[in-house]
Amino acid sequence: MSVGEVAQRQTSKETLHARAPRGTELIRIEGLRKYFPIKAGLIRREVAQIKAVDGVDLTLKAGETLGVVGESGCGKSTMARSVARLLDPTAGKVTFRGYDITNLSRRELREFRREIQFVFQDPYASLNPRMTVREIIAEPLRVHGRYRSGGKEHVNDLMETVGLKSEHGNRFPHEFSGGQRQRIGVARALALNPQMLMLDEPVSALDVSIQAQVINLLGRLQDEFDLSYFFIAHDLSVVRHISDRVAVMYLGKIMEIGTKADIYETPSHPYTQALLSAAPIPDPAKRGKRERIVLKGDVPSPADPPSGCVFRTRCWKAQDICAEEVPELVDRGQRHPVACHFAEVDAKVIV
Amino acid sequence: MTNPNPSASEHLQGAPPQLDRPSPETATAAEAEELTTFHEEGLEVVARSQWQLARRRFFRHKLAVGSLIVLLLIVLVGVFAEQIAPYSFREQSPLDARMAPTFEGQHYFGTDVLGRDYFSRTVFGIRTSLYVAGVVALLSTLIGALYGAVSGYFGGWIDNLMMRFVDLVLTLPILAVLIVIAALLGNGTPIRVAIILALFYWTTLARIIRGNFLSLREKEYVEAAKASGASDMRIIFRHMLPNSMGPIVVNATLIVATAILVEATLSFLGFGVQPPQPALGKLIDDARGFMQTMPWLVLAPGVTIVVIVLCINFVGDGLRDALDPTQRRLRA
Amino acid sequence: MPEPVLSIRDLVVNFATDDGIVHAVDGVSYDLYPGETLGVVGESGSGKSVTVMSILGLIPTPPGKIVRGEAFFKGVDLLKVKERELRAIRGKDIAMIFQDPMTSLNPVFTVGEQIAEGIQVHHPSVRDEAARDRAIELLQLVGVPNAQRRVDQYPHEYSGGMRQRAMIAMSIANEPSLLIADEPTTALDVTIQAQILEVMKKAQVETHAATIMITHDLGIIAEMADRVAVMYAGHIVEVGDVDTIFHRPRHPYTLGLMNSLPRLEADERWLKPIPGQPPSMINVPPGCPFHPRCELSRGREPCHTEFPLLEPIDSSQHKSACHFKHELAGETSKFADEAAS
Repeated sequence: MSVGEVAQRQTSKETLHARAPRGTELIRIEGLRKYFPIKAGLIRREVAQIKAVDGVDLTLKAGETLGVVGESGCGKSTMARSVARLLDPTAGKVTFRGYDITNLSRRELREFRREIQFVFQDPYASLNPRMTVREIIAEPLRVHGRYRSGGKEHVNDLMETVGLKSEHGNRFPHEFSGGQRQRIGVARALALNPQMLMLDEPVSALDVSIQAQVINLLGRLQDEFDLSYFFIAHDLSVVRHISDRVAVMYLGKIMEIGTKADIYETPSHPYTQALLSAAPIPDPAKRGKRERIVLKGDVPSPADPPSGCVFRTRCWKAQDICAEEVPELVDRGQRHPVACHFAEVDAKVIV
Repeated sequence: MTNPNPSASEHLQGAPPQLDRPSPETATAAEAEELTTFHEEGLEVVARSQWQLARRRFFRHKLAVGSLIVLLLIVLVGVFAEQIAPYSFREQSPLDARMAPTFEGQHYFGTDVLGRDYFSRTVFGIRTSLYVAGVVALLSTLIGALYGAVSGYFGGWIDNLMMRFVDLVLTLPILAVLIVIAALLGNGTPIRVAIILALFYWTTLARIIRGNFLSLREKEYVEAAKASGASDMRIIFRHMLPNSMGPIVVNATLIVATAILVEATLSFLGFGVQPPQPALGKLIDDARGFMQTMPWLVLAPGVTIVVIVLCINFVGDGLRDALDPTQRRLRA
Repeated sequence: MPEPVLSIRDLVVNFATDDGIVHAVDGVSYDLYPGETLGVVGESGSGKSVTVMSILGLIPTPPGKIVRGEAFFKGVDLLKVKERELRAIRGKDIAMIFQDPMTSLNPVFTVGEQIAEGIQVHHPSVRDEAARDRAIELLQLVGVPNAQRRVDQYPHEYSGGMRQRAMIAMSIANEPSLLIADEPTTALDVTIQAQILEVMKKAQVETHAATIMITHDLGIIAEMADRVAVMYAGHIVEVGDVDTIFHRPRHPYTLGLMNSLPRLEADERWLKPIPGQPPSMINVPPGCPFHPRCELSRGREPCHTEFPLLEPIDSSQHKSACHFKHELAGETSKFADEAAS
């Protein structure tokens, strides 16, 4: 390697780890697909595929929170793991600050791990029961050889930042409540000072009164540490509160994407409208005041998704074209991309 | 107004109970304060690791604890065989041959045909048998745990291949193979016997740990370690193996029991430890012809074997309960 | 005020665990009137499920123990009757809908067989043909498509939503006067949940049953309940009609809970959470169980020494267990603010 090449390598590493200015593109996902093979028979031949993620295009800008909302089986968790490279994408491209990370090996990914960290859903399973809190939070530092110089203080700082006391460091996860465990998980994710966090249903398993604490914490951390969030959830109120932009997923595809206002005030895809109308509002005064869309039928199997628009089997607007042509995710006059042949704003679903 | 909860009121004086949204700093400061209150109310007790909890659970099993004590005593007897045994195991005294158990001349278990003190022979026999069994347990646990860990962690074709090999080993009839090997190599030293036995017994643990790892692999804390960029080796040794200690420890104790029995069988069949080194099975073998006339020659080692194996099984049961990670937590 | 269908009085239930005695239900009393839906809301550890499970004899009695209390159903104290009588009541006069239909449905019998069995156990004179017809009728009522065919399918052939519908069908088969739903939609997606709640409303209309709806989801309560009982740490802290509880609560926990929810229809900068952690059910703090987290209390006496009783406020229908409930008069939750505008 020439001196020039070495120098180039150094600078590109530096650019990678330098904080991206607000508004620049951090993550770009193009045509992401993740299929899981279904094997059967004596020689385990592949007979079908579960199309968990089937062609997703998304971007995340530095400093923003992108909320991805959808029901179970829509592929949002799989997508999160594929982007964070905990899974290997089947097809498509994921770039981080311009670097194509789709097919990098484990070793090559190590540098990127410092910048993209993950917060998991289950506070009871995401912490190693045999390690103390301090060890759990220090682990990413140790893996990257950064614990030697100042690691101990850094871990103490992190614990205080998330609202724990440094005495708690010697205790074990099972001695803490769900909300406290999630804080530990967040502290761990912050250990390497990443630029973005991938959060997979971080508050869904918590009690309602604790959810608000953790949501506030995440909001404060975002400001304090200049973080970008990829926030996966199924609770529409939580997503509204924390997101700048929102993407709605169904059966491995994005149905609608836009700013918070686009999605919540001018929802244009029938599925989005159905979701909003079905989300329970904790206010009895609103009873009977919303337009109620009750979808018929159940979610089709991701191993055998419907042709054309995947939502057509439950959609009241479905026509022949819906079975023949996959609707593209483009702006159809609502000022944000919608994947529906008959996209139309319907604000009556929220009062 | 006395205030047994100074921290609770302290923070609240700064934040009156209104419906205003507090600034994020006071919100979290308040939360941190609350955490102290929670703990100060005695709602949380001393930090207890999983090990300490397991130990507490173990000591609740009186049978296991009792067996553990007995076992420890027997082990001590084996370790301090030289000090305890009044005679060496090979010292012959034809004049004192065929004596029934008596306090005369310290022949507590009597003497055998050749006039050797049977108590001494039993004590040394305990040492040999436990030594062999201990080595077998250690070796097979090491091999089995590592093998199973690698197989379960990587899965896929690696796992397939490795498990098929295990199946192969399991189809071999142990005793038959051992007898063949013994016939070829002649009677072995304890260490040789131990190694050969270990080569068979690692398979059970390999299967168990492999199964364990297959499920541990899906745990979120393992995903978290991957997300931090940890290497496979680190994940296996730092994150997963410590969480498999339960089955490993339980299995290791059970292997000790099995090994003692198998070694006894081997010696009984004549393919074990070299004479005149006594091993419990060999002692029974030697006494075969004298069951009617000198029953103590069979009883002493026989009862010892039974006691050791029973105790190990009880301790193993207790350990299994104690290390069971399924915590019974109640959700209302 | 008509006679209550169910009347629970001072129920106390403990569980013996490795770490000590868990005071799961610590003196709970409430009434349920005919035809109404009572929403029982609380977070994990509040005791909302254990309350109903114990009056139906569904908790394992070691390690559980019903220390004291009465539960009058149509004049009979369910806590004193023999198992045989309880069994006759369960499934007939009192029906339960659980959270996870997969574990409540037997995988080796068809759905139709299970509904029919539920009928025939309590009405032995009904013949198989008739029971099967009734099963089909019920499946149609709850909206299972193709009921004629589906009646002979097994639970694993049903989707999650359909299984819950089958559960509801089973529960209303014998026209119960009391329906208890314990987190019936927690495991379901929100669009399926909407369907199931519609089915439940329909089932209530059909049977005129009084319903207890147990959930942690305040949205469901707002939609389904006529009256609400709020539980915390094994106690009822407030009870009242749904409008009052949501708009003008008079207990700091209820108020705190309402105000900590993120809103679907409006934007907020920061949420206002209830500080602190849920209490340990083993070492219960003295006095009011909520006081360590209470912003109304501000560490005052008698909150940490004297346990507040559930007492009526204006009418006998609105009760709150708080020493300073009068200080909340005039306070409104953030939902009321919107309703007013």
